[in-house]
Amino acid sequence: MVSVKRIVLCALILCGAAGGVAEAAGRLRVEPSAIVLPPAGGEARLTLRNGGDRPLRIARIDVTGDQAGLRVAPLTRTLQPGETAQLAVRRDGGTTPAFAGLRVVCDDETLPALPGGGPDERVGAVAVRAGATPLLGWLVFLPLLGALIILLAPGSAERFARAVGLAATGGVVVLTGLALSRFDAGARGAQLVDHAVWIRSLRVEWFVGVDGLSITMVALTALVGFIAALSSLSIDKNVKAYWALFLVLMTGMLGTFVALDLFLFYVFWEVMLLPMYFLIGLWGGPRKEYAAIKFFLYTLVGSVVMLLGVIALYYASPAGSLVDGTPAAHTFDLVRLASEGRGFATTPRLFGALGFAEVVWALFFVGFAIKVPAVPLHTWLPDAHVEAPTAISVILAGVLLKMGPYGLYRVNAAVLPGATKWAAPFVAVVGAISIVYGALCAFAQKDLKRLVAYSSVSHMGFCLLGLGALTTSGWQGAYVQLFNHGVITSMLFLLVGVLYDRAHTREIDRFGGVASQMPRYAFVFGLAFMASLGLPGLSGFIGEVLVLLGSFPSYRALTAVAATGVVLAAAYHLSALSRVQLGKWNAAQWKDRAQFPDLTAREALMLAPLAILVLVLGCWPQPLIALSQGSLGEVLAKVAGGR
Amino acid sequence: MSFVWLAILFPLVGAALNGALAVAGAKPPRWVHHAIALAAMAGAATVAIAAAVVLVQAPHEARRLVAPAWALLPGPGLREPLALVVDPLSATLFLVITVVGALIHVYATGYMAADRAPARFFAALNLFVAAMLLLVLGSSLVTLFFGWEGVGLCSWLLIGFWYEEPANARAAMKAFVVNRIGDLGLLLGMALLAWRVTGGALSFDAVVATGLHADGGALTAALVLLVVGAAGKSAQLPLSIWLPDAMAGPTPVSALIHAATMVTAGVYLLARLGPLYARAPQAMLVVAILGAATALWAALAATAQSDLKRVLAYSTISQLGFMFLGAGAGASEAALFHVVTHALFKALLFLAAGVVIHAVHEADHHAGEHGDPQALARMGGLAAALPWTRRAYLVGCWAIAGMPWAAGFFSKDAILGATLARHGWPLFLVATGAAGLTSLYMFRSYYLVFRARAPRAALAAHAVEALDKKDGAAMRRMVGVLVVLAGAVLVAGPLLGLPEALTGRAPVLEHWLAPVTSAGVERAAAPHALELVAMGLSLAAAVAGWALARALWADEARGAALRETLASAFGRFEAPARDGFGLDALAARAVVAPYRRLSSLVAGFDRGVVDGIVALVAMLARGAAWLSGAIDRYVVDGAVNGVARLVVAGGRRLRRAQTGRVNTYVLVVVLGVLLLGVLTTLGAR
Repeated sequence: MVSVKRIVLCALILCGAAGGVAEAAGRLRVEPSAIVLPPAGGEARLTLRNGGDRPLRIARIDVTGDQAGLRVAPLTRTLQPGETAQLAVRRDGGTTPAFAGLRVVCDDETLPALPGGGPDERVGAVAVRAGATPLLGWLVFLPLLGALIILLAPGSAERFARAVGLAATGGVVVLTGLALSRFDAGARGAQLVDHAVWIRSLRVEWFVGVDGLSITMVALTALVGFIAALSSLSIDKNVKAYWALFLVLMTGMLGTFVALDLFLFYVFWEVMLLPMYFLIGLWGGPRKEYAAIKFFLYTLVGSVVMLLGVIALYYASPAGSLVDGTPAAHTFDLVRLASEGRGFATTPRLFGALGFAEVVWALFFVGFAIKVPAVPLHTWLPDAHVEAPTAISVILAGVLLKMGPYGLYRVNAAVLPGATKWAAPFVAVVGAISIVYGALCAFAQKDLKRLVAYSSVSHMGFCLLGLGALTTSGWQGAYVQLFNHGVITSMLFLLVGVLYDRAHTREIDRFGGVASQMPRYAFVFGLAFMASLGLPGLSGFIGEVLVLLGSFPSYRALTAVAATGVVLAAAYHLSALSRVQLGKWNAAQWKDRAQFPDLTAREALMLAPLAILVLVLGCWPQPLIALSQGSLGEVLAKVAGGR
Repeated sequence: MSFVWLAILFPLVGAALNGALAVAGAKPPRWVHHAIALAAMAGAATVAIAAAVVLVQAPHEARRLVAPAWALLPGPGLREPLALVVDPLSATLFLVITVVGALIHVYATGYMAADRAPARFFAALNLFVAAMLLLVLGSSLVTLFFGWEGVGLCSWLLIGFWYEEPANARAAMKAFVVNRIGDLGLLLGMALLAWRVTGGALSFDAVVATGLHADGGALTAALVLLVVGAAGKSAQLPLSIWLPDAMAGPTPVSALIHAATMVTAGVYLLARLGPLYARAPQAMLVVAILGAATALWAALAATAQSDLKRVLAYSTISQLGFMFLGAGAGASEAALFHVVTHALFKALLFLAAGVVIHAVHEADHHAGEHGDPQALARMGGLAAALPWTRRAYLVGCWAIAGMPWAAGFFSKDAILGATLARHGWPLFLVATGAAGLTSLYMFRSYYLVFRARAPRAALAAHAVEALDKKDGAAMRRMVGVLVVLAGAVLVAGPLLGLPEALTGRAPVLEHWLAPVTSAGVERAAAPHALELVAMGLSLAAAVAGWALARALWADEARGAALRETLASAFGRFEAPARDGFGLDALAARAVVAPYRRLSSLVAGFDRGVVDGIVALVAMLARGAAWLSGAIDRYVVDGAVNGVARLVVAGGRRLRRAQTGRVNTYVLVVVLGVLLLGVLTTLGAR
């Protein structure tokens, strides 16, 4: 376990070191070096000072960034050593910008040169943080903090580790609630933004923020994470290491959903991968090593392909500046890539008919499709699920799979809308195949957990079909499905775990008549299965029907094929449900009935919030949609327009 | 929020309360469950009656109560606000569902008096009523679909109510999955309507309004897809196979869900969109042919059943076929009239059958036998023991057979008349044949159950006495409900549907429904003469059926010779007819088995090929790794080791030069200096 610890610590130290790159000391001093975006009609003040021993000539002050409505009084003068100048930044109003900054153009040669400027034009930068709030930062790093505390605790400290783990995941839930309360569903663009330079030399920024889709995913992660933490209380092997890894995983997931810098996104994406590997490989079932390595290799392939895409996008990105105004030849900024990257469509052809955008699109698609998982890149999923401990299965299906469609939305659709439109039929076909193929496989499974795993393949296919439909209903359906599948499938894996804890097997045919032993369990089981098979009134239905209604105008035949998934889902769900719960109690299989107590209080506590969500969102999905309507509509309009 | 929502809220709360008791495992006195369930039904029925009163007081064309609620999503389609609408059509079914439902709940308190899980039973039964009301009261196809699947869920819960019997669980699953096939059609039909006809909206108002001016092809296609959905719920060919098996549920469930209400949902859908079907003659023909074929198929199957409840199940399928035929003949009002009368008389028949089964079961209990209490062969002689039940059952038979005065007479004749007027003789004759068979199989069941001489008659009488002693109140409640229903059956027909041909005025129900079902439709009235011909022929068929049944089964001994004759002629058809003419077997062979094979094939493919490729890639990667390792070990390392070995060997050789003798070294130095001298002079030159 020492190795795990060391890896985590090394990673942390590296992150810290990279973040603390000091700025060179030149003549120009700006105080403060970053300001908060003033409210509309408001004003912020800065002081420029010559901290050197030669005169400093200030040519002008530029405003960078999008339409923040920032204005600065013209300033051209030479500051003698020690002299200061006051600078007023006024804001007239306008949209809340994702990024903004001031550039002090001067002749301080220690500063970076202005692109396209003269030899004397150097740039000193001032970040204007748009309503900068450290909320998301806390949200993302609270679990990591917990992990550190756990690792620093002496001895085995099992109870302490559990307590810290619960506190950290509970804290995430609280902070998510806070973020939700501050989130304005009516506004456009990213909110709760925090924006600063992270690694200046690599042009990487700490840029986080949420739109409607990402805040929903953050909420899902917080909820599922907390419930998985409750479920993890029963882990009693290497408790400290488990919780540390679990919390690092939380940080990785949350970070991925809030990152608005492509590099940051990639870093969090990778941060997620390693703890998952260990959590499956060390705390898993009998074939855990096999499953863990398979998971690792699959996702590693995805990551490598994605990294190529990240680098390609970076070098194709337009020149601009970092948030503090430092000029940069290229950018990782996802917001700018999305708003200024339409040049990707006209870049030269690479392989025959494929343009640059299409190739990069495909690279990202492979990376994300593995996570979804889309047939035929799905075979890591059943093995990973079957071997993973219950809590990790819950995280895997409840959150990790969601990163595939989320990535398709955040990167493929937003940054490469033209290529996304070009590939939409392909995405829809992959989705429809996944739906039917997953359902057929699920029916043949003998292991309950494998069955649920394949049902995930089938259900996530609806997300792809909806995304490929390029209609409002399709997209909203995909989004609703994303959230609801997270909730429902978490329930299913918890329920499978409950049964496994009692029977120590998951073989469907060894059960029968469980309902007569565990009536409360049977009730929740039935609720979850009915929700999963898409019964109207429960949350699973809304996403599926929206996707089907949305994709029908785009692809008639394909939708008809995909819709058979509705029948197939009924078949495998009910078949499993009746083989496990109904029929006579299979007394010959089990030594005594006392082996099967009904749901415990802790189990009920884990399942109850999910069950309530399933019921409420099944009848009243309006709030969920309202949260993301604007964000989805914006990106969809770009994709449908092809640019 | 209008008071109409209370109608759904009451049973929903009832279901929640009883459901909570069931989940909590609480065991209060039995009457608590009964009181909750009955109060919920009483509340719902009161709302229904109040709504009907409000409607009646409104002017004929403006009878409409709207109870809006929230929207599922912002925008059109799923985005319209959900609402309940009480208009003459939904009000009719509203009344049927709540009033008949309440009666069946009362009956169920007697029938399930000894069951172990009353909370679960009444929770599901109340939930069913809530879902069914949502289905018929909902203002759009979306609300209909919510109710549609809700009743499907309750049907699943209640067919499999005695889930410890694997056959019941299988029957429940079969019902759900077969219904889902229909739902697929319904969903696609909705998608097509939203896309091509209404531009996204799915409320009935919008669908009917836009549909009347829509492109005919898309409309017809959408309507045919909706028929698939209707056929699933209403057990029409070939999706009819689930209903006979659904009899695995307790008898009150069969009466309420699988006879009176849920299975008529398909007919409701067709009637609701009646004005559109009137514009799509092909879709209408599909409905009519489907209905006629189902009516005949199920009637033939019903004559050969050996299980009382299966007779009634096939009879229900057949009657639903008549309703489809009516809808397909453009006579939605007639179809709905039959829905109403059928709800009454089929509930009556099922509940009477329930009393019979109860008695036979008790008789078995007395005799220490473990036979099938539903087998017709084990019945007979119950007339003396169950006098009121016999009379009620006879009223039911009379009504379903279409004998004069009783409910079925008017409703079935209205359908047959419309069929003759619209589709001509072939479909009419098929339907009339089915009507004659209806009379035959119903009276067959009547005689087999109640005829005088039978081996177990005395035993049954004894059992009924014992039942009376054990729980007389329960028995009286059950029989009381039968009497009430029988009265309703006798009154409903003439009250609601005296035909125009006899009275010169439009039938009451038809007039009541017309604003909804005939909105914007020009309909040529059928000539009265034709209607009278239809009436006469169907009456003749019914009487013939009854006469034949009487001759064959009224008396064990006297009918024997005739039965022999018939058996020699038709005996070979009996077994296939009992199995529904192999439709079940066909479904098993042509759908279920291939599906299982396909599923294991795909799963095998997944494991063998898809995962196999991954494994192959992994193997190749391992191979490559081994190769690079080997190169490393033998080539790269080999080179390094080779150099090292060379150095060592060289060193060993060179060691010999170090002799330790000074003179040798001096000699070497001198030779070296000489050599250098020679070399430099040579180089200098």
